[in-house]
Amino acid sequence: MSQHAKKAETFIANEARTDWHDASLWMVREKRDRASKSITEWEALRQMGSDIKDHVLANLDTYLVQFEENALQNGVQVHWAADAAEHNAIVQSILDKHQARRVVKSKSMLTEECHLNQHLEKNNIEVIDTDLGERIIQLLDEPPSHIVMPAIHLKKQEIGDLFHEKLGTEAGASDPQYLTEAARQHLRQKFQACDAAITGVNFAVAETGGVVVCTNEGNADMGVHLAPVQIHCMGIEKIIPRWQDLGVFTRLLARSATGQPITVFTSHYHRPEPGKAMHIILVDNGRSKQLGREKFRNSLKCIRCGACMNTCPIYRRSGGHSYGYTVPGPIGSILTPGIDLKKYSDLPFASTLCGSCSDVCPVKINIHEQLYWWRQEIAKENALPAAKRWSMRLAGWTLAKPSRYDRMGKLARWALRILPRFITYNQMNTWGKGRELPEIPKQSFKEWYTKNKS
Amino acid sequence: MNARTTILQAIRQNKPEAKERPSFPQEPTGSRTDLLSTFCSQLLTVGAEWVHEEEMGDWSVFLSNYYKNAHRIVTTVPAIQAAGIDMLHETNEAHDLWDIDVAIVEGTLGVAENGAIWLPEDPLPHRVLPFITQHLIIRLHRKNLVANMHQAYENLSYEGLGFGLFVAGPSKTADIEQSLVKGAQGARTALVVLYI
Repeated sequence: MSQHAKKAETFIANEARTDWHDASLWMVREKRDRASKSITEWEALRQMGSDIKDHVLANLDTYLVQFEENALQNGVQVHWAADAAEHNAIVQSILDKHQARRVVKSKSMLTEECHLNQHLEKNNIEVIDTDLGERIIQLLDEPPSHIVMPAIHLKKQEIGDLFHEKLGTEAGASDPQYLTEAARQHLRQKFQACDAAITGVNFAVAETGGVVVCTNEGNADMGVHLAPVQIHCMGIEKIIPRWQDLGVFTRLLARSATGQPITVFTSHYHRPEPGKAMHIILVDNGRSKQLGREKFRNSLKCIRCGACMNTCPIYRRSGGHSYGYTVPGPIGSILTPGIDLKKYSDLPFASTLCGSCSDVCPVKINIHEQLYWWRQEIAKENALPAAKRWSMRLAGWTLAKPSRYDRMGKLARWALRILPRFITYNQMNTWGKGRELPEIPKQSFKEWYTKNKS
Repeated sequence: MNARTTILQAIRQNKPEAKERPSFPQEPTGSRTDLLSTFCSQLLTVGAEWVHEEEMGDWSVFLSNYYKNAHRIVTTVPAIQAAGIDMLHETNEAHDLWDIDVAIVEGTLGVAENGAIWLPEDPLPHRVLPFITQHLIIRLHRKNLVANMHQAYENLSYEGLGFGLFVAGPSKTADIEQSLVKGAQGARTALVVLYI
C-alpha cells in the first residue's frame, strides 16, 4: 500500500475526529466562497493573478536581476542559494557574523522545506517559531499539517496539555483565549531577547527591491523590528514585477486562504533601519528544474494560500501529515514528484481528480490536470506499486479491443458469482476495502440493449 | 560556478516563451459616502472599531473612559496633545516601548473594500510601535479613502520607502481549533478615529 494510504488509514481510524477535521476545513472553504463572491470582478482578478505569474515565469531571470539591483540599492544584502544546504549555510553565516544565538522566526514554508530549524539547532542556535500554530507544533516536535493553519489537526485539549507541560498553564485549561494569552506572554519574552529575525516572503517586487510579508498575528514584525538583523528567505518564484501588482495579489491571498478581506498586517520591507542589517536569500532548490517541465511549470505560480487543501475531499479526510511533505494537499502532490518521483509517486494518486482544487486556485493552476499527467509520468518511470502496475496493464489490454472487453466482461460476471468472498476481496483488492460490489448482473448493458432495441 | 550564475543559467534554459504583461482593469471608484460606509462596515468585519473625532469629545476624557487601565498613552500625532498623553519622538530603543498601553498614530490612506489603513514609516518613532503597543488607535482623514487595493497602490509611492504597513484590525489568530482570538502577538484592539 502507498505511504499516503497507509498514513491516512491511521488518521481515519478515529471517525469522529476525521469528521471534525473535515468540517473545520470545509468551514474555511465556505468562508473563502463568501469572501470571493463579495467581489464582482473575482474571476477577472484570478485571471489577472494567473497572467501576471505566467509573465513572471517567462521572464524570471530578468526580474530576479532587477530585484537584486533594486534591493542592493536599498542597502539590502542579497544572497543566492542553489539548494537547501546552501540556503542553510548562508543563514548560518549571517547569524555567525552577527553573533546571533537566539532567533525568532515567522512562518516560512521555504525554511520548512530546507529543514532550517534542525540545521540551526544542531549548531546550538535557539530558533523560536512565533506564529501561534507553528509554535504549537514546534513544541510538539511535529511538522505543520497545513501551510496556513499549521496546527489544524490538533484539538484544544491537546494544546492545553502541551502548554501545561511546556509553558506552565493550568492543568486541564483548554480555552483558546487563555491559551493564546499564555503564548503571547511566552513569545513576547522571546521577542524581547532575540538577536535575529527570520521570515518567509509572500511577494518580492522586482520594481522596488522590497519584500512583502502577510501575517494576522503581527509576529513577523515583532521580530523584524526588534532584532538587529532581519533575514528574509524566499523561493525564486515569489517575484512579481511591479508595485501595482501587489494590488492584485493582496486582494486574492487572504480571501482565498481564510476568507478574510485582507490579512491583518501587510508589511513592506524595503530598507533596513539605520544601524541594522537586512538580508534576502533567493533560493532555487529545484524550482528552475520545475520551470523546464512544460506541463508542470505553472505549479510555480502558487501563492501558498492553502485553498486547494481546504476544498480537497482527500486532504480533509486524510490530514496533512499523511502526505509526508512540507506542502501537503493537491498543490503538494504536483510539486513533490518533481522533487523525487519515486519517493512521492503515490501522491498524485491521493486524489479523486474532482477538480475542486483548480476551481478555487487564485492563480488558476490546473492542479487536477497535473495530478493526472503526473500519474502518467510515474507509470512511464515504472514507479507504480506492483498491484497497480499489473491491474493497469490488464485493464489496458482488456480495453484495447471491444471483443476482448466483451469476453472479459462475461468472464468477470461468471467469476464474481461463483468465487468465494475471500478470493474476490483478497489483499490485492484495495478497492474492496470498505466498499462492496453491487449485485452482479446476468448480462452486460450491450447484451441487454441488443436484445431490447426493437 | 557560483549559485547566482547557476540559477540564472538554468532559468534561461528552462523558461517558457515570453508572455505579455497584463494591464489593469479600470473600475468605478464609487461615491465618497459609499466609500465611507463600506470602509466603516469593513472595519467591523476585521475586528476594529471606529468613531468620528467630532463626536468623541475631548481626547483625554475619551481615553480615560475607554482605556481605563492604561498607564502609558503615547501619540505620534502632533494634533493630539492632551493631558496624560506623551508625544513620542524618534527612538532607537525598543525597550522604551514595551510598557506602552495605547499608541495613537496617523494613517495616510484607508481602503474601503477591506478596512486596511496605510501607515508609512516617517511619523513612527520606531517601526515596532504599531505592533508592540497593547492597544492601537489610528487617526485617519475621511477624505483619504480609496475603493480597493489597486487604487491604494496607485496612490502610494514606494520612492524612499524604508518600511510601510497596511493594518486591518487588531492582531488575531484562529490557530487553536479555528476559534478567533484577538491579541495574538500584536495590538489587542484597534480603534480608527475618523476626522475631517
